Amino acid sequence: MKKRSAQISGRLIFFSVIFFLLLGYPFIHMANKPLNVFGVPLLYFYIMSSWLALIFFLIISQYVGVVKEKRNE
Amino acid sequence: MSKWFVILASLGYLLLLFAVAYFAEHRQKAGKSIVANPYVYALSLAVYCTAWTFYGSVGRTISNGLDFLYIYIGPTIMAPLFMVVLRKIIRISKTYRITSIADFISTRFGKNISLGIIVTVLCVVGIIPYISIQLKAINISLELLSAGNQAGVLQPENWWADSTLYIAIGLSIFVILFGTRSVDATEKHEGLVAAVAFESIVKLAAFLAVGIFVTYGLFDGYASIFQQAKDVPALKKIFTLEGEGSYMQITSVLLLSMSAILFLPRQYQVAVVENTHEKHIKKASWLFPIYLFLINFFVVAIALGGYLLLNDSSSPDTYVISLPLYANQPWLALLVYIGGFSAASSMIIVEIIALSTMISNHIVLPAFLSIEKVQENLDKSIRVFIQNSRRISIVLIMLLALLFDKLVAEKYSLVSIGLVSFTAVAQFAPAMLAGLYWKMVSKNAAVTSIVIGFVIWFYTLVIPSMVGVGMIDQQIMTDGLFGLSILRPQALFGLEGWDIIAHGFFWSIFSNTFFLFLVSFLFPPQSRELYQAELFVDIDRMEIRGEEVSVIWKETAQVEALQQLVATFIGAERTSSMFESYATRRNLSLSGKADPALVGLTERLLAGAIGSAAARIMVRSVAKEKEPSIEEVLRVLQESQQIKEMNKELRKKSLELTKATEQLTKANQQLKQLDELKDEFLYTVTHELRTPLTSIRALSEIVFDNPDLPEEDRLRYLEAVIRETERLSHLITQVLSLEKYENGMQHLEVRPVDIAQLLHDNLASIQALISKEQLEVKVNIASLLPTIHADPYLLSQVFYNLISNAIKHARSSIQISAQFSDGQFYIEVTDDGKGIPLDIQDLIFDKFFQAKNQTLQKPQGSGLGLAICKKIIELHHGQIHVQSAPNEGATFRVILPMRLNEVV
Repeated sequence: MKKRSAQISGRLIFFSVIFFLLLGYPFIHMANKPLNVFGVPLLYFYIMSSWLALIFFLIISQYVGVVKEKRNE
Repeated sequence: MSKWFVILASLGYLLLLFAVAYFAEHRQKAGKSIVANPYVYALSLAVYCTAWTFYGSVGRTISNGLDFLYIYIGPTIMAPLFMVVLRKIIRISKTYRITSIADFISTRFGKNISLGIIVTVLCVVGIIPYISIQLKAINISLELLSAGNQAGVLQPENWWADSTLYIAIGLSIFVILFGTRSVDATEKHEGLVAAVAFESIVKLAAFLAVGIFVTYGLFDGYASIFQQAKDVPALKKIFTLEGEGSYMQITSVLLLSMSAILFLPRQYQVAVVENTHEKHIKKASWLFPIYLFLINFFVVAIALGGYLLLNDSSSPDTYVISLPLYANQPWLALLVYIGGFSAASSMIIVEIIALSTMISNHIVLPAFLSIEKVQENLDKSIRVFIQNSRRISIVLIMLLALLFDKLVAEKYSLVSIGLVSFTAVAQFAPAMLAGLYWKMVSKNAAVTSIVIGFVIWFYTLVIPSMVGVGMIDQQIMTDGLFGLSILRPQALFGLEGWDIIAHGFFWSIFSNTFFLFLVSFLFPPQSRELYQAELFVDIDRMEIRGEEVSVIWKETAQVEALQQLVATFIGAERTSSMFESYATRRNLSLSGKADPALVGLTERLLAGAIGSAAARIMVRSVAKEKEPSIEEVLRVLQESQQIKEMNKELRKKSLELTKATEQLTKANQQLKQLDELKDEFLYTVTHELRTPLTSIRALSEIVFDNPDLPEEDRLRYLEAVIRETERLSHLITQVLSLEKYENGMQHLEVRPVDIAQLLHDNLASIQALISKEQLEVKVNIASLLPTIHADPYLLSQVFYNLISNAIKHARSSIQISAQFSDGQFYIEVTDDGKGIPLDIQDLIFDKFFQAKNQTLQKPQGSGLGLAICKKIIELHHGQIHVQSAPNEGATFRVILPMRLNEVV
């Protein structure tokens, strides 16, 4: 149980760190170009899609957690 | 739109909030809470989105570009950590009945009164401007909606004509009614939370409505707005970040918002104090980020649209409401106004409750209850005093916010003031986080770090604002304090060219963290702090069930005195129930001398009502306390550590035992299996032996019983007897041989062997049989094969067996091949017989496989040949496989390593 809890904590910290890096320098610098994607600036598109991706991973992570818990039960 | 109509709409909306709050409280009393679920919890967390979000984000987009998004991305990045950090804070707060962030920090560092006061003062100073901008936002939007456009907005001539005042009064009444009803601050304010959640829905709906209207009503979608804005020079910063400083700016905003989501007093109030169940964090950790994403989705569109359509005729902070007015959509503008009102009022309500509890529990009550006369004449009127102190604090905070609004806030944008407040509360982050995970951080370190961080925050961020409104001479900005240019507030120690927030944040947090660690190392924690550290850091490991927290203080008190003390604050009925429950669990009587645990329970019950510091004062007034020595605390902590280690050791032993049991079970199963195999083997051997013996006996009897048997028949029978005897002998030899291999008794006589020669010799010895069966033999042995180190006799036995088997099954030909590649020999013997079904290919190397499968067409042989071959090849560290398909013959492949270095 403790091991599982540590695994979950590790996964959550991993998500936070990864997205902190993705949305900071130097990744943001790579998206900071005067280009457009679907009519919107690349920088705005990159920030919004990374944000959405983080939310998506959060939902998936929870869903996987719930499925595993049910399977363990 | 008439001003009075807008004011009436505001009051009407306030009445609606009263109704929602009343309904929620009614349901709570009926035991049917509408608040205790993750959805309302997530919506209540959205109190993070204030008028600053609603109006200020658009203004910040125009002035600074996309960095406003990081104010909301920060909490999203923190969301995965809610289950780690926030859950721990909630667990600690519930266990020790902590009611505010000041209470948390004060309790963690030895229930220190001065620390509680410092945190409270810092919160008040840092948050008052934040509350004032909410009032400012309500005022601006109200005036704008009444006037129809920016130009028509007029400032009221008299203070009493200012609509903000009446809104502030209305909100104060709401907070007093629904936030101070109970003395126990740990009690949930379900009415309030319901109202805040309702307001979160309203502000989101309003913002989405105006966003959709601007994006698709006034323009042809997002791409169209960007297309029109791309050539406007003032809007370039929204398309790309300008300069290296931008990266520092977004990083500081990101870090600030990450700390704000946990340490803002209102966030602590809704996320920790009002949390009804820990499990709600899980769902809220993705629901809340979705909310943040949605409310920010149209900010850039509104900002660009506003700039393109309104340009300089309106302040960017008001684009959200100016755009519907510009498009002649008064009802949409009214909806936006209500949305902004929701955003501002929910923040004000929760923030004021949190601050008033702090002021009451950490400033007023410790001072009041320290007076000896008060302690001596304590009665239930103290509850009214507590409630009144909170009510007065509410009014005081609201007045200060109004004052700040009139004196300073009018000159600043919404977001600038918001970020200054964020930086103020970020000063708690180092002490809080270190206090959660590191036991050696001391009270002195926490006090020093927070004070230093606060001073630098004030110097770098508040002084420039005061200079801006003329309260301080401009000279300090250009020449620095005492004329020292390295002390310029916006270029401290020569750090120039940074954004003011990034600059202030960097210096305050850097100094704060540096001194936290430095002082902790220089002045380690004292006994009480160490004890508290143990209770906080190891909260998950503590054996805590309500009051059963280990108590080390040497306190003596009478049970009756303690009970009376608690009853004074939280009421006789509740006290009696708590004490009786405690006595029943511990099998104690509620009279005489109280044990230390009961004193601890008393303190925690009081802490919920008056804060931990004041609770400590009150308990001291009835309990004679002797502060334990550092040795005693260390001994207790050591014992606790030893118990933990013993538990760990026990767990380890238990795991080892489980493992050993598993191994024993497995070994037992293997033994059983071996026993079964032995029985099976004996049965098969005896069966195989009986067949030739039966023939021998029968034939011998015929010869014996018939002396006048014709010579020809007699010879034929005797020949059969000899043949069966040979078969018997061969079978016994093979069984013994197999037994030798299985027991590891067979030794190899290794020497260099020419594989090609060995195969040719075997073919030659079996040539008679091949000729008899009229088979074609194809030989494909590579020339110049290297020499193998092996036992030639045993290898010869294998090849003979494989070739003779192939002859037995072949229809017209057999093929023998030998190759050498990658240090290994590959020898194959192929026949063109009926083949071996796939499902038994793995079984043919088992002992007596043929004998056990009598339904198969049984060729001659004992059924031990292949089993022996496999054992011999394995002794040579090689492998043997079969490849076959029905009616396509079979190929036996032997793989042997070139050299057997350590062959047994």
